[in-house]
Amino acid sequence: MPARLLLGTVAALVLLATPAAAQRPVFEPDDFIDPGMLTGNLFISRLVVGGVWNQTDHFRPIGGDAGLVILTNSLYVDRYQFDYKHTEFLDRQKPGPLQRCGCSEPIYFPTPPPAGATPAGPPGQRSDTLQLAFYRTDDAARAPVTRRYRVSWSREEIDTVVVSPATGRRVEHRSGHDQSFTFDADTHFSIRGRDVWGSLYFARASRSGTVDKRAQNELAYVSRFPGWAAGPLLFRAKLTVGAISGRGATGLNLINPYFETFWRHDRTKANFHFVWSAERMRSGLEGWRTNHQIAVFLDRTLYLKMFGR
Amino acid sequence: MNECRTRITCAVLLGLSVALASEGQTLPPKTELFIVLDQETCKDVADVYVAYNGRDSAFLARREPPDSCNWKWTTMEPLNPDITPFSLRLGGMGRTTCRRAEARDIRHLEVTFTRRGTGPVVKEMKIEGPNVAYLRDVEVIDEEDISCGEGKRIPGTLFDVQFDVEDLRLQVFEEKKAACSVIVNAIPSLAKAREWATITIGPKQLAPAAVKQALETRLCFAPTFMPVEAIEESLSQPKRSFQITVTKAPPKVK
Repeated sequence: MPARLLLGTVAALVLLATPAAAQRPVFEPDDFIDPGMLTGNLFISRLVVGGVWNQTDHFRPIGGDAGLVILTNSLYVDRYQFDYKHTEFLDRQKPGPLQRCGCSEPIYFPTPPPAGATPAGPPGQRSDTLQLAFYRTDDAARAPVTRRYRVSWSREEIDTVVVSPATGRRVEHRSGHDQSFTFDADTHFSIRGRDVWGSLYFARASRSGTVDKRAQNELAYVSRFPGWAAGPLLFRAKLTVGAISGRGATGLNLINPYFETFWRHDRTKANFHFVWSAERMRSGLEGWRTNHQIAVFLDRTLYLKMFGR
Repeated sequence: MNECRTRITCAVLLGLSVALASEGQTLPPKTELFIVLDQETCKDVADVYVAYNGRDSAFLARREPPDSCNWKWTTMEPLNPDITPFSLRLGGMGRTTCRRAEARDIRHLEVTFTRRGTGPVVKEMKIEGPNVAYLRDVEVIDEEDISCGEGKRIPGTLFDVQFDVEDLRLQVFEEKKAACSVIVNAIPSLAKAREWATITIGPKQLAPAAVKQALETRLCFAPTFMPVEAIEESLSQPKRSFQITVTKAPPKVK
């Protein structure tokens, strides 16, 4: 889908429809707090520790498993939310040095996925994310719904070393990065008196300074089903459907059911999460493929301060 | 001169009488509500109290004729049947869902109830604590039912509470409307309260309940898992702590 058309569609949907929320990494805990539930401004810092299997980033497979540590810092002021999140990946499979033939048109080994295939995810060891959100509540209604609109910017540094296959000597070093911009908005509407909750998001992920310069646009709707409880466990499900450009497959090429369960250990104040995300994606070369991303992690509040009340 | 005065007086009197007559047509001085219960709902019911227009104030109706399943309640307020929800408190026997009345004429409305709430009946629930609003959010069960909320402020006493057909929301967050506030009947200590009990609920009970209800989309935003500590801290200053005394109706002996 051409980028302009995609951007135009997003703008139209945002203007015409009710607003949206974003496709975050599966191991990132929720940070929505309705400003109506806060009696002042809030700063909260949280730690996330866990592991992820068959990890993807913006539906780009990274391959292998990894441990992770995330530090999230969120500031809630009036109806705004500011976040800074830092992620460290532990034992993430580092790609070996690339080899480049001495041909007139350089060929790299291993060869990056071609344009019609699903691109590989960024192999970086850490990432940083900045977010700005705004909450809107329709005060006139008897039961006013609160929606959040958020923009996110994530960046991951990628160092690439290229060696000669003949001599094994370093012939090139590239300092590149992978970054993404996301706009997401919560949506709410009723069908025959039943509430339908979700998020609409647009994301652009691009990479530069690397051998495989790829970019993609995502436009997707996330249906967020009401959670439920079974004893001490809480459950929730989501279903994402959307289109991702730059994979040689136009139209609907993403279907992603997602299940998560939570358990809170009151004494340690830690929340345990188990996530299963079945990402069914289509590319021009590979057709439909499914990646089962699984994450197990715990999050805990490290520091919390409410002020200005 | 005298003739002129007489004419002016006549004109003023005529004007007044026309104005009063037209006033009488648009605003009737009182409304009579005829309440009909079916045999099953009517069984063992001695007193019927009427709640209307979203207020949790119940007014005693008069059985008419005696020993029938019909009651009559009169109010000096003009009521529009299209927008006024009614429900009943059945004097310790439970409550009904909310329904609209049909107009017999401009002064006479009729409403029929065919079901009592299910589950245990809390005859009285006395709530003491900060002066906040509460809302009894009533479920829709039958086609004729309408969604409604009946509220007031605490401290106060609620009558004929049935958690199986209603949610009791406390406006513990000042900026959040009562209709989107925490449902306290989901708090285990209150749900499990026996025939007579006094329990205290504070931030430590309210915050986990709010987090669970947020995930269940009961608080007017998309499902989310909020950090409990943030909500607990928010409820601590000013401290939201309530003392609730429940008196349940004894279980029915079959």
